[in-house]
Amino acid sequence: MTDLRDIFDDFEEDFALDERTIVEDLGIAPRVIEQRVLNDIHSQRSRHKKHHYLTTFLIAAAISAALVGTTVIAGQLFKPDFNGKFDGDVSALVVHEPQNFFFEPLNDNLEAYFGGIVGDEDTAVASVLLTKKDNTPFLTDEDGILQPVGTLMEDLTETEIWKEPSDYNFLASLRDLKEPTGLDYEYVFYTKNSEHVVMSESCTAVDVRLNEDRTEMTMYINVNVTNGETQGGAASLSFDHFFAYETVGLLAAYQDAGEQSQQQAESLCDRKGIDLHKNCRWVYEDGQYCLYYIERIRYDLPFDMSFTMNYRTENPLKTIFSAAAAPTLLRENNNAMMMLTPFQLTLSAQQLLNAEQITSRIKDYCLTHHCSEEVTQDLLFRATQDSFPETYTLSAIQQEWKGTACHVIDSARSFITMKDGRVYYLVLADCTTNCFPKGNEHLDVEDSLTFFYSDVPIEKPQQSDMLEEIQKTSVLSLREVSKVCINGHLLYQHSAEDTSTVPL
Amino acid sequence: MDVEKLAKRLKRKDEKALSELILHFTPLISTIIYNVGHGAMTKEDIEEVTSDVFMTLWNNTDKIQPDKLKGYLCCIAKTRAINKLSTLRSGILDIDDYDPEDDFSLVEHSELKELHHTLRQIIDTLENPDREILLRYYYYYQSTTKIADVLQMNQETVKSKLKRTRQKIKSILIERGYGR
Repeated sequence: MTDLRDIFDDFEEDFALDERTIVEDLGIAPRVIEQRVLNDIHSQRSRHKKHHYLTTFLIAAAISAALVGTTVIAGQLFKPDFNGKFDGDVSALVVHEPQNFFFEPLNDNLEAYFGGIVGDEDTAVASVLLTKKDNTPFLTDEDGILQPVGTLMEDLTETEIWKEPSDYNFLASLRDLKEPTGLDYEYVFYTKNSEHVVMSESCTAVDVRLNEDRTEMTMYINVNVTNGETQGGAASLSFDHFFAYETVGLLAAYQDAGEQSQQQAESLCDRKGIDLHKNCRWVYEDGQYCLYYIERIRYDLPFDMSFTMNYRTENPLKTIFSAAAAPTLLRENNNAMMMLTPFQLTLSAQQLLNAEQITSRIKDYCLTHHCSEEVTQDLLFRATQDSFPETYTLSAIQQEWKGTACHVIDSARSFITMKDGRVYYLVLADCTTNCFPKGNEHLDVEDSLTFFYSDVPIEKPQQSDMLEEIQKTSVLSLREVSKVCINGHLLYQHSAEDTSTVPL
Repeated sequence: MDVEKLAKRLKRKDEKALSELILHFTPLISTIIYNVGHGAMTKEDIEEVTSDVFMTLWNNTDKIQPDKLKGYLCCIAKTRAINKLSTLRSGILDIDDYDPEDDFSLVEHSELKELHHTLRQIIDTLENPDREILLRYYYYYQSTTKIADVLQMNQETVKSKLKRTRQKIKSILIERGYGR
């Protein structure tokens, strides 16, 4: 039962009543509360410094696609690029909101912005942006380390694939840097029963990248997640200097990082007289595994940093719906399902038609639409034709598809409402339709649609860069999703039972 | 005191702004916690929950809307107090104030934000003392005894006015399409 008090408890409104007639004299001194809170804040910081962490948080959920495009964590101060950091099972990826991040520059001239953490079952990557308070570059030409080594480049032009370095990439591997540099770090996992398991070898690498004018340094801190029972962890890193690697030039690029590629890389390095392990680094870039020739550089960057990353490996929101619930969205079919992840929404469905059903459907359809196709098949997801007479297209089937399928989605009536009232419109990103004729009697149809989230309704973006832009701008916290409507049909509504009594 | 300015400073993690807000809002926040507790919490409990409210505010400065800071604090205070009560295994309502017909299961929780907006509109149309009684009882958790005392009314009058206001709100909400 919901009573009126429940509703008022979540009311974040201010009502102009005379507080003097409400406030009770309880003998509680505001100064005592102030001191208590400030002490708590300072001890919270202190705990961070001592590398002890509290479990709090978090959202978690699956991420879209194979993170080929840039992905962004919502509500953050900068947009990290996790491109190429993961290539595993998409449904296992989780997003962590940026909380409990602590950064203390020891020379007091740095600013830090936490960009969040993305992880899968094996690896988590935290992103941090550093700038100097006076906005001066981290490195200048006078440092003498940004000049390409000409003679080496000449040698390398003989390799199969070669390109000029387009930016200044610095790769720092903790494995190499732990000793004798000033790096110290600790990583603690939390198990399901909140016990701590220290796994100090889990921080595997820090990728450090500079932007073009060298005023922004982005760090990607990779952490191994090796225990499936863990629920999260906390990492702290303390730097006073590290050795970075300037990527001098690309040696080769491979489609995968398998054994064959490794052997080819070793062979290439042997021919060039280069030590693969000392002088080269692998970088995943543009869908390829690139082998870079690197130069080692000492770099002073003193600071302490820590963050927590508690896993709550929630599955994506999935809900099964029927044609009865969404009659103009899809025909009767099997396994019609909506899956919501922080980065995209996917509808999928299957339909198995026998010969009689196919014949019946063709007759119905041709009677309505005066068509003369031999065999005609509707898509499983569609809007009513009345709504979109000018754009609705049919696909014809004999044994295979003919023509191009066109799904029609009314973007203005297809949206996700968040609990705080924000609305994200769904923009059709991709659709795949497969028909599998089975003999002459059955036709198995699979259909799926992928949507991105947009702040504004967009009917049908034609340009891929527009889609990429949309994909960059909106990432949902699944815990905050209230309902999902497509073409005006309610496909998902948050269950009240799952709602915490805490409004945060 | 310009609370909105302080809230903006707080969003930038300004500790001095937090201090000023604590000094200003502690009496109200501790009273709400006390009211929710209906005598079940000790002074130490109330101090603990009040501190917790401001720590929560500090740790969630990104969620602050400067023009709604007071409402946000009250909301945190109520939920924190209810949580504390549940750990103390105590009831929330005086048996005198309990009304089994106070069923407002008109909406799914997910529609609460929308409902809040509508409810705010309805509350703004209510005349005093009905409006004041409603807010004191539901928003500030004052008991009907206390409300009667402050407004110099008979307790039964407060209860009957409360009941009528509740019925009025419910019927307006149903008219506007909420509920079964």
